[in-house]
Amino acid sequence: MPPRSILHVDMDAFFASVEVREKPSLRGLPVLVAGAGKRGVVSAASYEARVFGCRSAQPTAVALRLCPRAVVISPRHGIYEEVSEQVFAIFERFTPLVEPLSIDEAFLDVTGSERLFGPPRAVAEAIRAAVSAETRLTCSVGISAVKFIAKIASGRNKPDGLTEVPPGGEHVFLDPLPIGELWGVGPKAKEALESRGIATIGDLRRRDARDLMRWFGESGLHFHQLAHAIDERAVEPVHERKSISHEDTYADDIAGRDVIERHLLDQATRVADRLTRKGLRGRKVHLKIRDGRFVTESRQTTLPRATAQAREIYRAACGLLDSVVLDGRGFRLTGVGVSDFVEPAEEEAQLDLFGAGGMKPTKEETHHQRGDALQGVLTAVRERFGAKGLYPADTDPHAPADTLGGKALAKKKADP
Amino acid sequence: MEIRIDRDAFAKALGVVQGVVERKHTMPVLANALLSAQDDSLEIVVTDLEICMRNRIPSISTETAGTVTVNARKLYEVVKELPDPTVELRAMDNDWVEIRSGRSLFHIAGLPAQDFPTIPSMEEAVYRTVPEKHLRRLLSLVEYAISTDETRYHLNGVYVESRTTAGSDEVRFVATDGHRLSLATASTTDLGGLKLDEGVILPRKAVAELRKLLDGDQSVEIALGKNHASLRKRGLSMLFQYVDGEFPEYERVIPKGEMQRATVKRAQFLRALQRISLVSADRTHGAKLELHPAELRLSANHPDIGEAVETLEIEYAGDDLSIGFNATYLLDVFRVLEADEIELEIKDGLSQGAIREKNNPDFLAIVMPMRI
Repeated sequence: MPPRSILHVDMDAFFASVEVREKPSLRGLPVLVAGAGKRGVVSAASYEARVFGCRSAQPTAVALRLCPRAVVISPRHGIYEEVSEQVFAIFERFTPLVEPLSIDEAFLDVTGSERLFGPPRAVAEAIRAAVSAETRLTCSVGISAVKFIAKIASGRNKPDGLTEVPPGGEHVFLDPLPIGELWGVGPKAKEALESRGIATIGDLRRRDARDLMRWFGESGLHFHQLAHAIDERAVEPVHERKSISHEDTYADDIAGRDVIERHLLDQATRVADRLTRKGLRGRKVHLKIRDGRFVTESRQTTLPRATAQAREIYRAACGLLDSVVLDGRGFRLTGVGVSDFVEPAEEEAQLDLFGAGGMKPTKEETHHQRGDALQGVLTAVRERFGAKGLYPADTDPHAPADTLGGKALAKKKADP
Repeated sequence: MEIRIDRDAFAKALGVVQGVVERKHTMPVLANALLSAQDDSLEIVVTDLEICMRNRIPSISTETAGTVTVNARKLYEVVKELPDPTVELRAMDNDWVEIRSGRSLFHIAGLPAQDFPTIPSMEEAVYRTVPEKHLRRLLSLVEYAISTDETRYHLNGVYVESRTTAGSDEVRFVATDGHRLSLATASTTDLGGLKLDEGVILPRKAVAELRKLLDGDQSVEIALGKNHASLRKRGLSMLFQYVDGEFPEYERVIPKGEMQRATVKRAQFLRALQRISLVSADRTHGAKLELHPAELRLSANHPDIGEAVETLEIEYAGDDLSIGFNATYLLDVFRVLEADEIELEIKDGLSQGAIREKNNPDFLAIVMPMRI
């Protein structure tokens, strides 16, 4: 394979930076985008907060102990998604080969872009300039011929950094790095490697592949190859979104069918909004529910017709709840998701007897068609005025936490 | 309660009622069967609150009369497997049931009989005697077209209504899911004089259960009342509610005016369609029909798999015409039909097509095309 030019672009403290941009008075302050309450988790920490040791995925309580004067902001996924779409649209102006890794980072293969935009470094600079000019946010970029090195490189000079590992310079770059930086080396493997005197990637590279095979099997060989900068994986632009879901973890376990259903309605509403914004409709509805002892149950059902309507998603989720034995159990997490998206063309291909044949639609039919239209309006209103613009009466977002039976805490997307 | 009963008769009677029992219902007692022993018979009752089925087993020997409820599925599974042809059943304290047969002994947990819902009795209605086979045929001719879309609950059943066409009384059975429609007609005389003041919708589950019960060659009694329907067949009876909804004005979709008519051989067309649908797109199952004089070209393709073409000799003298259908919709119709020759009536690529058996005015299927 001819040498490739791969960029790894990573937005800097993405959620926190978006919040700071939206509210300039936060500039320079330690900001945590995090769920509040005793089970809250940090989604993003500004660089000012990171100085104190705050990190994402840390319990909010821990982060606040490290930095008591940090400003805590609840995550607003709608706006992050919107900015994310803007950023990815910029990436796609430079190359069609964009592989999203998450909402705020991606691999870009710019091998073919040289004639248009110049060498990889120039492409990276152009992307950084465009992101900065169009979103007023910064990103960091790593450049390498190898995917995983580009990813490590982007983390080297954060924030607002650019790190290029030129072809041939891989070993110079990798050798001194601690072994834990290598892709796929988790805490366990790190410990096992260190116990054998392998502390850096260079140490690993100089070992015999057979030893590594003996110790770690296939993954040992894989580590060895990575240490030699061998990583043939291409940038895969496919990554179509396969599902949209919304989960909440509650500060206090919730119990009772009524309370659970109210949360499901809220989650179904959020999922419906996201589906509607993206123009997607799905046929499968998923329910995920985890009790106080971390026993997780998942259910799914196939709808007769793809939907983006909150009402229909909610109804299906409640149907799935029927098959969960509630037994007075308390639940720490619930989630609702929709998958199996249907292409609009695929749906419209089948003509309808009722419309075309002149059969007068019955009350029920009219109701369903209005449901589609209504969902569009509801989503548009919430888009413009925020989640409190219009909401189902059962999920009053102004209600104090205890009436909802436990206020939603860590909100995270659970899209595979 | 303490009885002695023939194992095979008991297992058979329990088997018949299984379809009604909802295993996951908010009311746990609905997973159970209510067993009532009288002098010389045992009655088994199950219900899901919409359908109620009773099955009476005669000639048992009753030591003590009484009632128990026990999980219907578990009881069936146990009885089926018992070693001895005779089964002893005894109610225990705490609503448990003891089952003995040969050297087997089971104790099965039950629920108090008084928790079992009271079953309404059938209102005043006239029972009509109908040949089992005929009724089964009518239901299977339309059942495939019932909508499974719960949000269109008014389409979740078979619409039955009385009509007078050209001076003769008939009963129509209609089902539709909004994409296709099936209509089967029977003369009132053939249905023992069955007549309805207004149309009713028999729910999908009841239709499936009815069709299973109508497995013999004799006759059954059927009553279609104002709120309930009932079927009686020897020791068995079934009572169910109608779907509460307004069935669409189906007659407006029956194609009128000039149609192009082709006659195909049912078995040949069915097999060709089954073959090409092996490569039709996963969800839409699109199949293309191209009609030429004396020839029908059937084709399908899948972006990732490939394509398939079948050419059939047919009777057709009309214009060249091309139309797409969901192959599943056509297969469903062709599978329930029995005649050797089937007529396809098509107007154009965007209007509904009609399917009939040759020389049989009592059946009509309507299928809406797909854009291909």
